[in-house]
Amino acid sequence: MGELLAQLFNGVVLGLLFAVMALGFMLILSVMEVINFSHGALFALGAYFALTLQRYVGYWPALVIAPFLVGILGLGIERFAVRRIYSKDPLFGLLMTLGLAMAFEEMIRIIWGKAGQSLAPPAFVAGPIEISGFWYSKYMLFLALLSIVLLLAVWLFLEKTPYGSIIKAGVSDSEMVLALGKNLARIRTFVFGLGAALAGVAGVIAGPMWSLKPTMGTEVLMPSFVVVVIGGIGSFWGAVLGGLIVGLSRSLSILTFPRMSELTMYFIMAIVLVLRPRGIMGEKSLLEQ
Amino acid sequence: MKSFIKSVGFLVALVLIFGFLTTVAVAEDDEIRLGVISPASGNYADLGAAERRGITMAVEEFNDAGGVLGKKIRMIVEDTETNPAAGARKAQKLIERDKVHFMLGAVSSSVAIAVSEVAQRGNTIYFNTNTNSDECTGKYCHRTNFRVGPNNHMLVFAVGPYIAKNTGKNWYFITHDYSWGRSGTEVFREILKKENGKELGEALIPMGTRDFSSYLIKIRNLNPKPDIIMCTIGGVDRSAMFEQIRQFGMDKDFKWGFSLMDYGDAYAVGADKALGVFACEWYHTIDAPGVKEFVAKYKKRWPDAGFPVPENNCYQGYIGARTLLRAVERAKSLKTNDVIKALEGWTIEDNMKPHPTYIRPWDHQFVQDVIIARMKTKEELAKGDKDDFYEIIGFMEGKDVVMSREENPCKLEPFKE
Repeated sequence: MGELLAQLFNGVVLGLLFAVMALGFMLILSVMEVINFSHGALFALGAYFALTLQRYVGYWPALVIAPFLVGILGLGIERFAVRRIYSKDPLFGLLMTLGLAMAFEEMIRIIWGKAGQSLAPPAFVAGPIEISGFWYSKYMLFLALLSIVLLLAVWLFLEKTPYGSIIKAGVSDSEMVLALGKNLARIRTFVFGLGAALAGVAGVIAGPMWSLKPTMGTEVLMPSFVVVVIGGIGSFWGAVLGGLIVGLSRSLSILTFPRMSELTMYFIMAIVLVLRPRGIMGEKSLLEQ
Repeated sequence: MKSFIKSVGFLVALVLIFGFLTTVAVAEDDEIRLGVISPASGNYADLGAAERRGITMAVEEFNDAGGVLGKKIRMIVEDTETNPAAGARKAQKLIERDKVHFMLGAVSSSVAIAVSEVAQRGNTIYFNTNTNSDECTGKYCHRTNFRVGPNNHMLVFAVGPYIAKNTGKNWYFITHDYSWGRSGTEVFREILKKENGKELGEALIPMGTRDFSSYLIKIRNLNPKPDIIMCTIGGVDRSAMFEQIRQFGMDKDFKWGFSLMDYGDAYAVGADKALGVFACEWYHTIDAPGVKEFVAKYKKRWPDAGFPVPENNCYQGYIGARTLLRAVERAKSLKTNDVIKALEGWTIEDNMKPHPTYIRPWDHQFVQDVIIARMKTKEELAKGDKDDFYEIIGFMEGKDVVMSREENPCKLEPFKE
């Protein structure tokens, strides 16, 4: 029983991290209809930026500056590359972002080296915590807390600010936004930057746990994709729910049938695709067209 | 869409033409072509780079001395991506297109098994360096395949009984879910049975696992608590595991054993986070002739390398390449069968280990010393050289831990004409 509770709890913590990872991916997919294959690479860049920044400015500033830099990079990517392919076949978007992902990964190899590296967690969350026989990692609690704060911030931004409303409108019908006289080009650039920054921040907070290596981005791309397919495109809560489902499916399958741990999320994705192709909370889906 | 297909077609054509041109360019025979087939990407990319450094050092030594049989040695490097299918494809390419005389490299046992199949079919000698699965010189042994490192049986029979005697006999296993990992746990089980110990379970970790939290929670809740957790897991996966063991406080409450430690995995995560008792293949502070010179040479040749000292993968790359080229010199021939005959039953005296290494003729296993060591504590690290983080406990002589002929299912194919 104790173990079941621990695994459930751990599943939720992992789920929150997956949700942060997937949220930016989902926003870009919803507004631009581009499956951003460079999302994983941006995640890795966030972690590596933090690795370097941490040496000079310490943990907290690095936690803010690294995602900010990734966000600026995202703005650049949209402005100079992705913008050119909106009206073209979706395949172009795939190829372009895949190419960017490879370029970034190689860039990481050149700048930071091929070998794995370690991003130190801040001292106050190093080590374990014990509450009446329940042991857990302080860092993962901290990570859960950060994820909740981030998710909340994005939600407030989307729901409570006028700019957020425009983005939400862009999610459901970007042409209508254009017709209403809003600057769609600028909205798209901003959303790409925001999505990239979210990938970057996920990288910064996952780094101390999963350790850094140039290919770390490729490994989170698939889970992010699965989270969005399960949760649904165009829905904030869909991404959160999808994240939690993937997190829980991992921890519970390790509890019951460990060899399935990597597979379970794909099974769930397959079931969702059969029963509800737009995802559990999805508003529209590229897969339905 | 049509134009897209057209441009892809054009690209493919370009690649094919380019490939053809390079093939034509290599067909000269005043050189020895050495196919280096090792990971530059995937889980073992770092260790692959390390073994390539060792191979390069050996090749440069021979080339500086005028080559072998009057021919210079040229390395042709291919990336296995730590993936058996990719490895087999690259091996095919090296043999058929580049017409290499020999192949060398591996790190991953699963990749080595795939490559050795291709090598045997092409009757090309293949030195698999840095693999440890028993299968490479057991079930899947081949006449053309030589294994430079010790196998799991040797490593685990060195460290296993030591742990059973000094730590306890209730073991839990962490197994990397592929040939090497499964083979390591298999041998641990064999020892546990001999020692009348008890197995408390096993966690099979898929290759590429980043998150160990759920596995660690599972171990934390085991009842009874294991005396030690015996792991056969490697690469960046192991680095991430070290990181999380500390974060979950499992470094203080549990003991950890490893069938094999790669210096690079511990170096990546930081010596103060790595832990455990383990077997290892070679270490740069061993008191044996040639070690100091080798370390100095490495530091001079690779001032900016990923690892500050030559480690086990680099050592094996070096010994492997050197042994192979010396065998060519002895055989005075580049013919596969002549070189195999020169290798079988040969003893390598200057192997930078306390006892000589012997190449067993009937399974092509390099029988050699295995080191038992442990990771130094934080306090010990603070005192000494920061790159020296193993405390050597002792050596096991290869002949005392190696599998006997009766235990090994290996049957080499007859020589090909």
